[in-house]
Amino acid sequence: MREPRYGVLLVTCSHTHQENYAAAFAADRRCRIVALTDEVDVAPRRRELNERLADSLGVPYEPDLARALSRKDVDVVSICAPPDRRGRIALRCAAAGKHLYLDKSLVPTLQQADALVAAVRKAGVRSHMFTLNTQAWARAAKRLVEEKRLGTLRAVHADVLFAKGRQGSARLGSPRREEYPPERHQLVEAKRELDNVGVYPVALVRWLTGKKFRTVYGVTANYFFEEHQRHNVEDFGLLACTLEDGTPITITAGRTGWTSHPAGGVTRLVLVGSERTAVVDANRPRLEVYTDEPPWAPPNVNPEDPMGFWVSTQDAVHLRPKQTWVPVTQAGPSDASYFLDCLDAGRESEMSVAEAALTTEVLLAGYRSATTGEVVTLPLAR
Amino acid sequence: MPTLADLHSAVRAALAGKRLGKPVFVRYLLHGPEKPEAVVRRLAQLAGVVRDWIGQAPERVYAVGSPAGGQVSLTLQFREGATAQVSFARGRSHGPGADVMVFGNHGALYHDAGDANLLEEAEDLPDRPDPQLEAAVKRSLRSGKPEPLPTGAPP
Repeated sequence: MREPRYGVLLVTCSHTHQENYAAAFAADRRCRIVALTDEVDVAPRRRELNERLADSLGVPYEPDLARALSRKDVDVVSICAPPDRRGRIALRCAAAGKHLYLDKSLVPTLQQADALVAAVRKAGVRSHMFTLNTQAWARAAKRLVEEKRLGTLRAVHADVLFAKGRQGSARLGSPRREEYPPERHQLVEAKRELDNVGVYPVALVRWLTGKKFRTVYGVTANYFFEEHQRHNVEDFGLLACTLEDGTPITITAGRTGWTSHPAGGVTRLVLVGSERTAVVDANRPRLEVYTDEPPWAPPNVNPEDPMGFWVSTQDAVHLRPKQTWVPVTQAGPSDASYFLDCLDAGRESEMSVAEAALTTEVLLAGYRSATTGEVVTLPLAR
Repeated sequence: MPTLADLHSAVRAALAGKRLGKPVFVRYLLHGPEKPEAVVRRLAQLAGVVRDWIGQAPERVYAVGSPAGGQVSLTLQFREGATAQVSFARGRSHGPGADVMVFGNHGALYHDAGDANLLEEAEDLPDRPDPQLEAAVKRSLRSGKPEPLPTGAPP
């Protein structure tokens, strides 16, 4: 068997998406996870969580990011630090000459996004941000557009809504008052869901159309969860946009609650073309299976993760998979494998840092619009 | 073959049962053959239907797209914070039909037209569009900005 050719370093571990990314890298024979690390001064709880994943993977934990980056056997760094630390860590990794595999969304500010794009370009490394674009259903949508099977694309309506969390606790009765710039992106009990989930449909639209966004009108809301409301972060957002050629785009994104959907949530694109309209749905085609098994019920609330963000915390409360809808198509290669394909081929990812920065700008425009009530024109002023 | 009015009645009945809790967001996409001059009127009509489902007065509407291009989407913001996206898509082969999602704070309902076309006749919807909604949509399309609706608008 051939030796793995890429050494992977994981930055920030349990209770992040690193749980998923580590599994994806570990499953690909082209690479080997060589160590886990983080900034040297992380809180004791974060260090404990980092060491927990290191133990489960059977690889060493290096508590000093600088020392970990000095290792010659590290080629790729998978970064899942929370948004407020992600940018500065990514800059250090790029400067060390490592290829970057980044959690979404990219970074919380335009300044950090621009700095990261410049740093990656200067270092000459490859970069990639996780999105849904590499999933089989999204690839099918891309083929429809590229092969002109819909004619000219006239409009896109995209929805990504996570059916997680125990909904029904938000206090209703008045519109949300948004703030710009947005802060508090990732907390234990809540995330900014326009950013956290909205990055997917924004990235899909940009990738499918190849066009930049021109105008953005955004609204954020608190519809489902007291936890989000308590921390003054939205659980739902919508965007009404135009692309640079005037194509209208609508997007909804958010977290709608465990029992709001028979599977993981609404994940669909309506692609309206001059010749044909296609509905591309992550949950189609599917089997529907009904049995005398006990009906699915939400898991107990894990106080370490009441919204169901992470795999390990949901395993701890015995989350049962929803099994009424069974996908017909195979999942296909992982997003991590796609990035390794890019490294093998010496080409840029279709979701490089430069591309990901464009989604950051659209999301920030959405927050600014939600704050001012006005339509925001891109690019944003630097 | 069911009609749009049938669909609207079914949604109204489901919401009346309170199973979804309080409606907070509606996504309505109508595929149809409307000529450009009929698009705004149709959207205003649908916006009125959505307003009745939500049970709040709309305060703002923002329209993107163009009736001439056959693609227009409305973003509606309601007094107590609910929102809606109501879109019209003129397409060749999909045929008339409607995709509807309604989210309440306790659940959701979905109508995915799939391949089943709904009969979409002009006389299918008996309600005349609210003139204030229709006028606001036209203003937004002209201005490219969100437009306020008069407070105290129905319901």
